[in-house]
Amino acid sequence: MYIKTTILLLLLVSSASFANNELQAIRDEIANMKKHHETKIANLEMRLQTAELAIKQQKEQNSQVNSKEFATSEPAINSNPNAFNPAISLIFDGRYVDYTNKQDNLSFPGFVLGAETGPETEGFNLGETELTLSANIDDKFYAQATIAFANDAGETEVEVEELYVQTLALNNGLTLKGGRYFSALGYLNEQHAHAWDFADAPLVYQAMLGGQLKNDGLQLSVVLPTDFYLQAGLELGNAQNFPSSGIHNGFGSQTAFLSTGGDIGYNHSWQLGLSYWRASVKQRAGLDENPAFSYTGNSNIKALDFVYKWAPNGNNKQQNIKFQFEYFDRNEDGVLGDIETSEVNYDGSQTGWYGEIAWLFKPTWRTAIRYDRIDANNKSFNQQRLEAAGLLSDTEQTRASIMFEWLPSEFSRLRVQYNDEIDAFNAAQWFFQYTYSMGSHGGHQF
Amino acid sequence: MKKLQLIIITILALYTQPSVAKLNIFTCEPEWAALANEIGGNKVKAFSATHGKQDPHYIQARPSLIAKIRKADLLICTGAELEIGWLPLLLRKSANKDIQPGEKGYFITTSFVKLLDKGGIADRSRGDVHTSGNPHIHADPRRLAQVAEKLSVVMQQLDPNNADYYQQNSQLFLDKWHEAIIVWQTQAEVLKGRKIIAHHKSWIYLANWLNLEIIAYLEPKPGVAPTTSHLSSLLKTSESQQVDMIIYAAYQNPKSAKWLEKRSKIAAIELPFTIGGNKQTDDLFSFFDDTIKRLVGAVK
Repeated sequence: MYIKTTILLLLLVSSASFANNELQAIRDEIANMKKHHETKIANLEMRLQTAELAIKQQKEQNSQVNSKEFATSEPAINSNPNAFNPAISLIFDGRYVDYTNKQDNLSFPGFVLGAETGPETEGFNLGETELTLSANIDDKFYAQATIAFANDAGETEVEVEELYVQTLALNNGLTLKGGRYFSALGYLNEQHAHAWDFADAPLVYQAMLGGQLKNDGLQLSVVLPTDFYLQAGLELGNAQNFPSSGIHNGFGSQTAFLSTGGDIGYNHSWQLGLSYWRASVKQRAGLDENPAFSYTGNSNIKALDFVYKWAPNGNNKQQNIKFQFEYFDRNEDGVLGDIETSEVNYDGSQTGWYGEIAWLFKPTWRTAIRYDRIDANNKSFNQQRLEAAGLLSDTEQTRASIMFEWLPSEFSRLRVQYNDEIDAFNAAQWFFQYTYSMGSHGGHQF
Repeated sequence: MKKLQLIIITILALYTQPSVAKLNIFTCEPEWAALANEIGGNKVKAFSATHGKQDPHYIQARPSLIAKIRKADLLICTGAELEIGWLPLLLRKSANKDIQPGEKGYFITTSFVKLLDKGGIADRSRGDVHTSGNPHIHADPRRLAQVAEKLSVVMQQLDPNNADYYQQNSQLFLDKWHEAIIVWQTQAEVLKGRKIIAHHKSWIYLANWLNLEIIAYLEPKPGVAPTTSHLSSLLKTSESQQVDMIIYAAYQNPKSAKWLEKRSKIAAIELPFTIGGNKQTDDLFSFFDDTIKRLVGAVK
């Protein structure tokens, strides 16, 4: 009995003391944890403070750097009086030309060429030297002048190739341009000849436009506020230059153009254009300047152009391919001859197109091929006059060309080009062309 | 007649499209679009004319770019002649008064920081020289912060309705940015004084910031493609002194860097030149995170 009670008592006491121990242990642990966390928090707070201080210091350092090392240069008080000189660039475009047969004249059956369209002078030829000046006139206008020095048979002719002023501040996508400029008809027409992929113009440009169509007049264009590119424009001209001719009251020629384009991913981009040109023509000189062959009447050209470019990741400096196509359709309705030589009706219908592919296969090497075709189907009640004027044709003219060029930098180019024979011009052609540009950096046109 | 009416109505409808309330920003390079987004948040719509794998020197005034620049309220470009081949032409074709030089919407980032490599001789026999200074400033985060401060002011002026928003956002961004700069500098401690061969003069600001030493370039002259004879001379250089790495930008042809790597046994590292230069780089923070990670990885 005693033993039992003692055991029970002992058990009770021991369990009570156990409970006491346990409580103490928990209390100790809590105290420990508290202490530990306090130091931890204190540590964190300290780190935060240091970090904040560091940021503050960094900021101070940055702003100090701002005022010292980083300060942008002070504007010069005495500015150079020449600082406002326009951007100047000079482009040499010399060549050596060789024919497989000696040719004095260039003529395409069914087309009457402009006075300046002839075969390239054989041998060494300085070609055309272009001097371009350009600058913003003020905050409203930009102007550009391109003076060309053409070397022809030992004589130097100076010509105002372009001289125009255009607005910068009309806003709403509107631009007004006035003076002499390359018309927006077609694609290649607006580019200067030295920027072309071949040493000579496509046949259709030579036959229909006398190389390039210049407009003396006004151009209004608008880039529409669409998500994709859409541009429309109108031109009014004096219609004095080939392929129109004569002095006109008011606007002798009108042009309308529309173009659109865009990108497909990073690698592809394209542009499509439609344009229409019409003019009244007075006494356009005919074959041998014979007044019986001169043309008076209306002339219009409908043109379609398409350009597609490929460059991996849009890095066209590394590698690129360009496909270019233009189609022209010209209709003329008027008379041949004048009152003295008797007038006969003339209904001109001519078409022409070319396609080319250019490939920059290495950053400094490029090649291109081109195929040309022109066609004429002109009519008159007086067949004899038509034939005598060189306007009768029953065969199309075609030509194929190939070129290679080396581009040591953006500013120089050496090119060799071979043109296959054309039926009407019984000779193949070789061109060796060098093009150098000095002075201000030109723009990269699409 | 009906037809004509329809055409006129269509054109007018296209013309008077309701202008989107967001501030329309056209940038020449992705880093500026990223910066504009940091400050402008959802109040702006930023477009970049070039992407991370494209060389910003050689761009054409493409139709798609004309369409974008025509509608811009603000233009942000690097300047210092980086875009000389295409921006002036694009600006003329834009027929957009608000972003012409001298207007508030014409923001050229290099005019707000100190440029290195300024001056020199304007002679093209020395390659593609930029006499107004090296334009690739975005590789220095300190300079980027300076641009951010100015840009925030301009955005507040152009869009006063959201001025407070831009102000707060740019402050938040700059706080985060200065913290990040400290982290990057700590990470890049090991790079101090390292010798590097670079493809083009695209990294002088990065080198200036992290105290790297660029001892030579793969290009014999700026903008001139590397030649075998020049690379051979670099091989000799690398034998005579300790070179730690060769770096080139994601848009550059890696051939020359690899050629030298193979012969010299010096690691050639591709770096994102800007946002979008590789998969890891989608904003300004990840751009520097990744750049430093790649540089540090090469010396470990």
